[in-house]
Amino acid sequence: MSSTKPVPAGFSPGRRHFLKHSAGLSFAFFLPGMAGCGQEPAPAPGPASNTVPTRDSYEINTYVSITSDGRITILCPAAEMGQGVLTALPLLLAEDMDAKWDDVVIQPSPSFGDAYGDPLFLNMIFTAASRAITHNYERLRIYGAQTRHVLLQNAAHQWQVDISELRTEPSVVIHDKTGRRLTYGEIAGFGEVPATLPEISFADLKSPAEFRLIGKDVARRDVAEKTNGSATYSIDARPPGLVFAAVVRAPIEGAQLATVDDSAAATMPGVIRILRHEQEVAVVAASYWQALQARNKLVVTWNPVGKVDSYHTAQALEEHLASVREPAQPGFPWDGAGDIEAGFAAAAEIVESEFQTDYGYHATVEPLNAVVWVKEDGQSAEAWVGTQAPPYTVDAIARTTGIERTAVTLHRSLLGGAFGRRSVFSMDFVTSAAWLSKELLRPVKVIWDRADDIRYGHFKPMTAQKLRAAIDNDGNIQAWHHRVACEDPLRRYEPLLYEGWGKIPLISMLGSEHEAPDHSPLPFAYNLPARLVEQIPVDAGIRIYAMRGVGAGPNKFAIESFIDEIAARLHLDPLAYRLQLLQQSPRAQQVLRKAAELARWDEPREGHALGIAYSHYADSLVVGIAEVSIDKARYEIKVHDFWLVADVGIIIQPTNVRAQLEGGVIYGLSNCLKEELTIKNGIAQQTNFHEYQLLRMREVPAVHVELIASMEHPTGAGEAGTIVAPCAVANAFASLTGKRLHQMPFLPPQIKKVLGA
Amino acid sequence: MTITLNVNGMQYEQDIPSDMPLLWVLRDVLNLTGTKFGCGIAQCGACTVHVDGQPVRSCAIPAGSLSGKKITTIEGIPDAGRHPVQLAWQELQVPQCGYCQSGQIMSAVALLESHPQPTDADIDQAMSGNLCRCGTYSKIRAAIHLAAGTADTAET
Repeated sequence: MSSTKPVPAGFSPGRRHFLKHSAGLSFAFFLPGMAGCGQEPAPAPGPASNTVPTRDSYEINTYVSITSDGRITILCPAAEMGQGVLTALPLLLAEDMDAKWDDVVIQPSPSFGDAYGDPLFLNMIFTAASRAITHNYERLRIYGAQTRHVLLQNAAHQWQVDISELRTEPSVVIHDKTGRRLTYGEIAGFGEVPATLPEISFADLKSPAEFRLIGKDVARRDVAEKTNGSATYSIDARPPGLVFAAVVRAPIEGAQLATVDDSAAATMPGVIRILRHEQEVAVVAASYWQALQARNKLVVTWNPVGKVDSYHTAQALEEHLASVREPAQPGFPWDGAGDIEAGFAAAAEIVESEFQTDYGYHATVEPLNAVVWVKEDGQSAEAWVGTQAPPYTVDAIARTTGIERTAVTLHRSLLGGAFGRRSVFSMDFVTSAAWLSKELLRPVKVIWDRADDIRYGHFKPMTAQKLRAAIDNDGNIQAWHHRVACEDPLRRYEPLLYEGWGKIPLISMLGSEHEAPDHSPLPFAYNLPARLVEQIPVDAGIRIYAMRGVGAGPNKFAIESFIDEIAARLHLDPLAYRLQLLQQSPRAQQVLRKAAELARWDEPREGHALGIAYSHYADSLVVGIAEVSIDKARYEIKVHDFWLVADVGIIIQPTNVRAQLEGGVIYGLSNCLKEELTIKNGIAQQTNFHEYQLLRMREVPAVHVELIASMEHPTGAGEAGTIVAPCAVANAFASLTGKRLHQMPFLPPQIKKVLGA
Repeated sequence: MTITLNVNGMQYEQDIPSDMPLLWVLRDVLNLTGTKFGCGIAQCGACTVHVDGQPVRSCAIPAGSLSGKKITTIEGIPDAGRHPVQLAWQELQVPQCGYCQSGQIMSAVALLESHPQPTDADIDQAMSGNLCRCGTYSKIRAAIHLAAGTADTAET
């Protein structure tokens, strides 16, 4: 795996990107195929210079090839999990290439290659953190411009004219002086790739006024197949000779098998083999259902693990809270400035509050699964996996089977939802299929049923939060102390990123800082000149990982609730108070004002109330407003309407950005209104969707999304809705009832208790 | 045992356990993978098919109970991918990850058969058994209205 100097944790966009000559760029050779089904290329040795292109496929750089009939294949580096990157990223390249969109065919990129990776994730392809557009925007547009320039060079050479006399229209080079035209397809018939690819800088790119594609909706390329049953996910892959397996794995991380009784399972119909490997037992059968029926007859016991064996949610919540309250409990300083002690000493008033958030389950509708096929000679393998992190997937298969990474061909399937779960380093949902296939030397599909998927979940971590603020008579926050007790997933579950990012609790603490990653001030963060934000580390032993919104979900719940509490203490309107705290950011104020206008903030509602929340996670400025009422018989919050206004910079595909924002809101509302995960003896108690309930059609509010027109560098929209939705609901609840919810999710028992019923 | 199933107008004779859910017969025996597995207990709707025109969760129906019945999957609804519901789904760009959408469409097609001009309450009733984790619910609703020609009268 390529390892470059790790980039400090941060999500700052706008880095200039220069492409040098082609040496070092892996020269891709690939076959067109169905969307979602790519072939891993064999990396070519040596520089891709002076190569005589075949007439069938003119490969200009690591992203683009053109056939002489004019078909333009553009690779998409990011994983398609419903967020629309499969369309939007190639579109960026097509824009500056001046490619006719209907000529473009899209394929997933190879799993490795600096050209495809994300510098933040150590140059690995890692689709997460709302980054796909923001970190690819310049790079792909530059590749597009580079491609166009190579086509122009070839036309200029062919016509023996100066390149400055040429221009393009979509997929055609034109020489106005003579009226001559060459389509990109025609150039592909004779074109050459220069030894030194042209150096393009951001300044060479089209100006937004010239955009043909960016900012104008195109039909997403994966939609049609998702309406007719032909879209294939890894769960659908069917290589010849496929067998199926259901597995038993450690219910608690680190558990070891004590006894396995497979006598009943072995006699079940369709069973081919029952195998044990390390701490797993697998039943292999001719169909998945038969594998599952037999697997359910296994009787397996486990040795005790340790402290985690008696881990219960209720007690864990108390322990998290105790540690965040204990002043002697040292914290990892996450964000700080000024002198908070002086601020507290001089305070006119001090406001304090505590909040708690519970574990959460990703709940992708496609349960975790993988297909791995170790070939007969044991020297190579193919795999079909829906993965956010292809390098992790390939390396996990290589590690498990002993096969060289370069001999593992990964078909990058569409993902039936991910939300963070399909990027875990261990690739726990892949390795079973790998060792089984190595044993059987035939393709094996391992599917986790829903109970497995919850049991083996890596949950959003539990947190306890303590906030303390010193305010002066004008409402300025003179000191801000925020302690977050949480376990961060990096330490135990992300060895590469933990090291690469300098061993910081990034995932859990994101959203609690008020400055840029390089410590420069952020105009659109709340004005908190003296502050200390600390992580109080917890080591619980429950499997955790990043979930949509990451730490910003829990942390903003605490922060946005607390801001409302301060506003109330000051007798200030929550909107007015946020405008005051963000007065150094006209951009942020614009988003607040627009949301307030759409929601008719000042209009009183009978039996309903509004709540507001603001987030600048991933540099996207987002405001959510919820209108709620309370069903006092059922102690349930009803959300009637939700307004979301976002400034996400330049918008690549407006309809898709709206869909992501709305989808994020629904995910966040589901998190806080419906989802209950109870851990007992270290194991999640919920077993399926009748117990772990998700928001349904009849429960969703009308969601109104407005996008601010902006020329800023594009920033991500995938998580923003999830972050602000629960905060806005909690603030609306408080506005309606005068009582505050200090714990997420907002389930009936808490509501009943808080209302004093 | 040998079971005969009529799926999308074709007769299949298969030697399968009579208690194997229809879902797994479709996916693993007949290679029709458009119908999806999500929960196995009829809580998510991803496995929705039609049996004699009625929407049914195929994960909860044993294959042995279906002799003589007409089964339709996402692959078999009329107009080969150009059913008005599918066209509405495409026009409004409904799917995100797409995994739940076969089931959503099957439920929607069945709804429109019985309620050609559905109200929002009808839609709530018919569609709330289909989970969408990506949160495309409002577009599903709008697409149903579009396919029904009731878009102008929709509340949303």
